[in-house]
Amino acid sequence: MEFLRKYLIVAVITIVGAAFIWLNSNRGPAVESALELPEEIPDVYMTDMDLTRYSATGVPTLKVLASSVATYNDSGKSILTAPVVTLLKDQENDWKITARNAVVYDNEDIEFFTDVVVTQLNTTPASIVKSEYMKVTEQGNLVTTDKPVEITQGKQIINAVGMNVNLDTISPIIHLENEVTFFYDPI
Amino acid sequence: LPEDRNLPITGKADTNTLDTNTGTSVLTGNVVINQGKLQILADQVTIITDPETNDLTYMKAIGKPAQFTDIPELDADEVEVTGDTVEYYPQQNLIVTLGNSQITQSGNEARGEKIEYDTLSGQMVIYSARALSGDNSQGQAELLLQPGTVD
Repeated sequence: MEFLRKYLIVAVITIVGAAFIWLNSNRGPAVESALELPEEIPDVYMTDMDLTRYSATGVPTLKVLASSVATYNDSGKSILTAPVVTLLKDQENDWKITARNAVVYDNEDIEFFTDVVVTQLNTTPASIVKSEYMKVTEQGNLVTTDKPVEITQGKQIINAVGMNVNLDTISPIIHLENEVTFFYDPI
Repeated sequence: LPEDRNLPITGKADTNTLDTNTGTSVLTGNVVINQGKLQILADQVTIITDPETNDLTYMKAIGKPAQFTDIPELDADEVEVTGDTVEYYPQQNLIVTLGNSQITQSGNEARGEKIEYDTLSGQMVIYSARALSGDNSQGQAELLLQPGTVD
């Protein structure tokens, strides 16, 4: 009888130990370490954001992708990293803006910082504008900068300081404000 | 020089507008255009490119006056042409000057209403206002050759 009791105890211990090991080996990957939040703790923090804004009539007007978004209710600002913003103009005149960072304000103005590239879609050859800073106002219709810009369009390369373009027209005209240099290579 | 036609075209100006759909570029204010020895000075230059090929097909300079200078061939003297407008057709190797047109080379001068300049051969054709309009009251082309110019 004594032998049977010992045998049972050992069996139970073995089973419990096996179960414990099995449970541990099947647990899902270790819980990701806590998100690395910005220094200034935001009210809302999102990663891998994909947002589309629509007009009152249900037409998409703006699409925003960002690897992270930090929103601060007090200042009404949202800070985006690696933003990809597409200004949708009925697929005739869409423009895509990418940058290192962007700030979106309450009034829907957007400022882009560092390695800013504005690309015209739906048109060949596309106009591509590069700068270190760009501001989008008037609900995505006006794009301006006071910084140096470089525009490539087909074989033309134009550099200048200061630029503005109103996208709310069928054929947007880019205005370059100072120190224009033009380069065209026929080959 | 004839071989300059394959060189890049560069330009400077105070301001510029670029039509993002057609590629038409308008340079305004102290405009300087260069292609090798060819230089165009103007108040405003409009540049049109072919959206299919992206080739620069037409350039129009306006000034008071607009001016272009070029060296037609090696060791030749520089030619200077002025006029109200200077139109450049790179693919036809042609520059057309319109309105109060005048050419100057080595002190020789020629005036007319319109001057066509072949940038490959260096050849020039001068049209008087009378020839263009058929109106005999209009001015004729004028030629001023320095002594010894004609052998």
